[in-house]
Amino acid sequence: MSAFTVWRNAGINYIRYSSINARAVRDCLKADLKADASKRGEETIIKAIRFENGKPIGPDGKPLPLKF
Amino acid sequence: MSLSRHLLRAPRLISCCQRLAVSQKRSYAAEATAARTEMEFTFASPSDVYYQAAQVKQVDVQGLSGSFGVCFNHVPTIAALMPGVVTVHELDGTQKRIFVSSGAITVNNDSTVQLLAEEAHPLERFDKQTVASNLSEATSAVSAARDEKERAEAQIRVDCLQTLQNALTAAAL
Repeated sequence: MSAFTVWRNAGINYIRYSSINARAVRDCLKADLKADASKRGEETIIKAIRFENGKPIGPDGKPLPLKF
Repeated sequence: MSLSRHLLRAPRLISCCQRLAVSQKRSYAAEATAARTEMEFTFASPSDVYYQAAQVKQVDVQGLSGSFGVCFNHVPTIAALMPGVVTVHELDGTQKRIFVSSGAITVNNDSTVQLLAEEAHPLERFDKQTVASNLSEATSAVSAARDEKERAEAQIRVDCLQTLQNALTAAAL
């Protein structure tokens, strides 16, 4: 039985398999690269902007300038 | 009289033989129609772009169902990758080795190839001592696992680290 069948039979999908492997690889990087790499996958960055009356509002409560 | 006639014919006979020899030289169909051997290769991970529509000769990867190499005119394929070294043969003959965690490779009909990996790093970016200590930790996590799923997840990590360690040993880093 190949290693592939073992984890498939345990109910693990490829997405999970991929993220376990990616984490294992990140954990082995040299110290200077690791700090930057551990941000990927381990934490999610969410940027939230509040809207009022269809206009984006900044953290100071003033409308944000629209950039196109 | 007869001898001189034969001698006069000799140059024509020789040129006939030469033509025959040239026409019997064989070649592969691909060689005869086009001299093209390179393919357009794109290789990236979320943090790095290694090749962007670059011309390369060959790419060797570890697919879930086995390792294979891709050259110009390869049959269209899509494959999920397992941890392993991807070897890229560039046009000038140099070989680049990059370790990938997982991802997918797409080989298209027009000989364009895309390889997208979740993590991809050249071997010199890894620390051999860290690999060894992570591997022994992961190995003990397999025996400490409480159920089948936990054990399978720990085993995936062990297999990945083992492959990485073997790759680093082979590259003598």
